[in-house]
Amino acid sequence: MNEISIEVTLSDIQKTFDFDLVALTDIRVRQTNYMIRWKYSIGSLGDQWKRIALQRGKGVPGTVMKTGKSMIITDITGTDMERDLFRYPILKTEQLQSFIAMPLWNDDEEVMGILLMGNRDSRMYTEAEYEMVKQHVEKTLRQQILKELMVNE
Amino acid sequence: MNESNLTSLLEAMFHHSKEMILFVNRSGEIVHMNAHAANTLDDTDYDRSQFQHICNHCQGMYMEGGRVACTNCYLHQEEIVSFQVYMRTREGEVVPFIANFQRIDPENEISVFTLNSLAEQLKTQEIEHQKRLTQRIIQAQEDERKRISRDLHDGVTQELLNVLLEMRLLKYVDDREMLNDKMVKSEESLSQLLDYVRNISVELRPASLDDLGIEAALKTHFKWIERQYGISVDFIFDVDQKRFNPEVETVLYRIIQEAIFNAAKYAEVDSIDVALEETKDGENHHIKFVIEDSGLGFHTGDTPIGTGLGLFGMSERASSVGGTVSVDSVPGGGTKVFGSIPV
Repeated sequence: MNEISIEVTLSDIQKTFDFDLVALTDIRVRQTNYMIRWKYSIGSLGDQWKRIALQRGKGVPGTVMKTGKSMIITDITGTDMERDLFRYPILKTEQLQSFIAMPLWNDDEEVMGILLMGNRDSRMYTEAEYEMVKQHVEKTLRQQILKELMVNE
Repeated sequence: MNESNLTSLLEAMFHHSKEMILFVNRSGEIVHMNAHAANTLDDTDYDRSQFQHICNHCQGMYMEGGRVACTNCYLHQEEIVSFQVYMRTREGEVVPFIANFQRIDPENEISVFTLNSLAEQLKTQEIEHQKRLTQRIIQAQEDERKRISRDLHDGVTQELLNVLLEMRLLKYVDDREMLNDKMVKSEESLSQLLDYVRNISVELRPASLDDLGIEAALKTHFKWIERQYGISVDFIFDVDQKRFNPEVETVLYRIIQEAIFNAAKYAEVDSIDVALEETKDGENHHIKFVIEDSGLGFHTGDTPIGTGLGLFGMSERASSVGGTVSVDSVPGGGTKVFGSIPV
């Protein structure tokens, strides 16, 4: 995978939509037995995210992967997640208060990876905003990853 | 009200009061005491030809943090009101009293020292405290059950259902190649499920603690902490003896686990130091442990952010095997949990 170009795309998403943090998990095509790790992170507070490795079904990426749906949280205050922040380590280490976590699908309807975009204060993500982000990701990041995977196959 | 009446009333009060009243001179000798005081206090080594000294009875004042000490002794003060003092009683026990000490005759430097039993109030307080504690423990137990139940439901039940459905469909697959493909998928699902269940059981209590001992169990746990929270643990293990009494191993493991959880939750650090050290001093054979971080820290007297059960549990566990735990912390100066356990 061309890591530099993926990082450029993630930075671009961060700047375009004004996120504090944009992180992407390791891309895997077949959902075999593995720990989900964060492979890229733009705007991090430290290196802690590199050490995190979650079991399937755990944490933010686990939840998104399990349901196949985006999570849109405008403020974690008062949610189950805030009470249980320990089970969502990326939210704690990066001190995120609001975020969008989005599954990235391949053409066989499998989740290849999870994209996390968040802010360190509460932020009302509107429906229109979310759609814009989603379309942007669809056109740039997803296409890029699919192309890379094809080249490597 | 005339003068003689007040004197007789005062005298009656002195003799019949259920409050202990003692008159004490400047050097602490008891000039007079009322019947209740004489009946309550221990007078076994009392030589009747001499003045009794108050320090024969007094065991010290209650200080901040639960210590009993003689610093700032009331004898050297003009007046202190409502302080807690410990006296030795006739039954040979040391009992807390709520006391007042006032100089009433400045010329002869005589003071009045009155004492009221605290046992009743303390008992109610203790019951209240016990009640609150029990409530918190029950709540914590319920939360833990909720967590395990969710883990079982979300993970195990769902995955099992998945495999079950896949298996059902296998019956209708005629094509051998396709069947193989589907079986490989089911196999994968089952092996994932196996891992999931294993993980739940290790989180509850690692089998390595019983099979391989404290060092192996801690190392595995630290690896898990690193993956789960992104926090690295620097571990120094300076112990020759490989295995200990299982009780001691469990206590050590749980104390270290709890201290690390606390650091990970509240200290805002990305690394924690843990050290275990063996000390042999003749018959005294101890294991010393230190869990230290350089994070936010806290005032040791403050109300805890969490339930407060963690620290309580650590000291309860340690004392169950005759050990001790202490916590040192300064806001901005990190936290150190340390102690020792006899082995």
